[in-house]
Amino acid sequence: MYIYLRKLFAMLATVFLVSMITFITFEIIPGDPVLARLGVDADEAQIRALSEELGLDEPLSKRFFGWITGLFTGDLGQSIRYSRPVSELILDRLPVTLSLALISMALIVIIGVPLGILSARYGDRLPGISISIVSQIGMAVPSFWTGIILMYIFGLTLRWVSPGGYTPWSVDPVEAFKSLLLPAVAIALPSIATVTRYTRNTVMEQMKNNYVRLAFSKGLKMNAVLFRHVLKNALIPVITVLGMITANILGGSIVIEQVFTLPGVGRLLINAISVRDLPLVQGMVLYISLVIVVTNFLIDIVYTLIDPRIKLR
Amino acid sequence: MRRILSLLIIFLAALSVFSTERIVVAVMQDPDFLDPHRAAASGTYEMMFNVFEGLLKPDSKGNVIPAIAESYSISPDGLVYTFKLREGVKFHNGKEVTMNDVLYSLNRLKGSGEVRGLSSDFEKFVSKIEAIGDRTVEITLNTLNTDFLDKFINAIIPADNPDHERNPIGTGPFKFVAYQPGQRVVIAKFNEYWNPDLPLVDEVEFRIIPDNQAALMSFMAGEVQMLPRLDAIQADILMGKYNLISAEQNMVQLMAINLAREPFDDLKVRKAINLAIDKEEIIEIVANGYGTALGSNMSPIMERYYQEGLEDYYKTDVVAAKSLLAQAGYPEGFKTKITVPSNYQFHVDTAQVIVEQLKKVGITAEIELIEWSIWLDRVYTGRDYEMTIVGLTGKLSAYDILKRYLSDYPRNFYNYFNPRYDELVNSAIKQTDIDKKAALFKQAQVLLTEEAVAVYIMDPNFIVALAPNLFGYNVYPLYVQDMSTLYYK
Repeated sequence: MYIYLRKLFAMLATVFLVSMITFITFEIIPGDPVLARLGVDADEAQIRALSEELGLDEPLSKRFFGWITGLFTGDLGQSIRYSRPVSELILDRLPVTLSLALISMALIVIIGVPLGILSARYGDRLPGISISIVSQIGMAVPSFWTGIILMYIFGLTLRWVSPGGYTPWSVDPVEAFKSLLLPAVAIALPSIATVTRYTRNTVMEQMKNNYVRLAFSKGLKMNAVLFRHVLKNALIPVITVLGMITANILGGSIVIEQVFTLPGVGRLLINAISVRDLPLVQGMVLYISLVIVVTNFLIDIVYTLIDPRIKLR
Repeated sequence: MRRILSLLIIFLAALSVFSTERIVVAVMQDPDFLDPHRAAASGTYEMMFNVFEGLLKPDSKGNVIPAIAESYSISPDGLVYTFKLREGVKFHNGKEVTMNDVLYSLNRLKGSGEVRGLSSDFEKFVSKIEAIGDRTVEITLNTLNTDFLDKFINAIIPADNPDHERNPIGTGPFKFVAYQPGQRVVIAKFNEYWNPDLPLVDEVEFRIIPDNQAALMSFMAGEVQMLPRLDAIQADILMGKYNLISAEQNMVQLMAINLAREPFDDLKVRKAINLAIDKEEIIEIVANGYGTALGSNMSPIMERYYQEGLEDYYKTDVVAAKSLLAQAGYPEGFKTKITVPSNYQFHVDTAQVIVEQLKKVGITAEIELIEWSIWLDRVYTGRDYEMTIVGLTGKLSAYDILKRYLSDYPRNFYNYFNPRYDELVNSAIKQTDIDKKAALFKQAQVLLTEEAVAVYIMDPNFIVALAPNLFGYNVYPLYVQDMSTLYYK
């Protein structure tokens, strides 16, 4: 129990620090949310009305503690740009980002890990070398480019999916899956390459150990050694990488969402920053720090499941 | 079995008859406010033009025509505007527009008692709003402003709507259905519109696609049926395969020069900059020819007020520019900075061409890219810049276009202070004689050109791409998309 309390405390401290830094940053950087919302053609009367409504002339410290106290009552505040509750805006975007993360993580695990093992198994023979070359390319190609190419091939040429048309799950699950598949592939490809290389390296590393020699001398075949003994040990660092990738995707795949016009959290964050919508940015920062802290915690738990020698401390 | 099959076919056929006709339009940004009196952004007006109407509304020629009012008259002294309300105009909630709603809307703009108004023009010029009976309203101005008629395009909204932001209600041909931030604004046909012939389609979705490339792909894939504001490259890609409409759009793209900064306080320097810049080359390179060269802050689409011939006032002349610079004390030229909002690729491209053109006369300009919100804060409001490139969207009223240079205008970011100019523009809007008024506005434009207040570059053409079976598009000299006349064939 103690361990969970400590984790919770660490999480709160992280969020507090990050929020404070965001507040101060917003105070320093130029740009006025009122002007940013209304634009070039704003009338003086409209500017005055919005400024009065927002109460932005209050001191920084007062606004910050107002925000913190709101947090304890579950109120993330009102977005400046959209005049809506911040929580509503973020919750609205979550299904897209979560499903995108789920599909791409599935692709990464299902393709990346086996490819890595395969590549290690046939280390310096043709399959190993070709996988390693392909994964090298996969890591080098930026995902937005993959996205545009995929959209061109499957959207414009083959017409399997319709670009720029996101359908929510509640409307049509099949269409929803179709509209998320391409972006998920675009996100997954570089990560698949990373995971493949990582798995390959750690597996090959483990193969040099004494317990492997012992297993072989016991008369075990290659596959048995690989899957029964090596893999468990090799998976620990791979899971660390997978955790980092998950946190990254959940934090919003900004570029991919832009290319595929998906209403995910990444695009919301970019919008919020560019119009200086501090309450919304704060909400997003809170969400992202939560995702990272929670993912890390889950990874720790997975460690203990794979390797009983590891204990949560 | 056969019977079931035939039933199914009939059912499907019936379904296709009753299926809704829908247009998806790609737009770049979210609306700023759905509440029409609080909204300022052109991008919002572009969409909500279809939802709201004022006593008057603009037509595609740039005139104002009766809408909620069926007729109007202006007193001989030009101070009293009388509107007679049209019978049977309904709000989207089914209730009829009453005098109460009209008074509520106009007073909301003007402000009453303790509550400040939402339009500084109404606050400043209107002295009295009065109902005469229940079908006539009279608005009295305190100072003559002969362009004030255009202000009555401001929306009339129901007095009993508790939240104009979350549930906007108007009288336009389409009613508001939904807004999902960052995704879409959906509007649907209003069946009780006072003009029974309009609108023609059932539903319109403005889909918010900030990425140019993504918008183009969606259009080509048929996901989007209307793609307004194409750039030259997109127009080239779509040319010949789709229905493209191109027109002047009443926008002024200009390079503002901060007159309060050295060396730009010297007229000779500003003239030299104007002589160094070749507008035709910019139009060719940046807009691929889709643009009209300008000479002052007025687009030729404003026929009545546009002063012809100014675009050739500064014929590109490197030698003359250099000698002017030498006379001003800069024989070797000088170094400067062009601040450009980075989200407008069009202006960024323009800046790049201008840098090369200025180099020929010895001026070394460096491009500084900044975020739009910083531009609004630092350049537009704070007037902290040397030169900057921006496009100003047109207005119905020539006064609204030219007032940006008045000494007391809060966003006179040119830092242009000229009593003679103020006098010309301020006396123009007091002219009830339209020819005299036009003559004064033209003189004001000439003054801007002679004083080289800015480099007036072009009115970039507005290009819209339509799906091959979509017809009935009307181009407005305003930043609007009139969806009511569009139909499928």
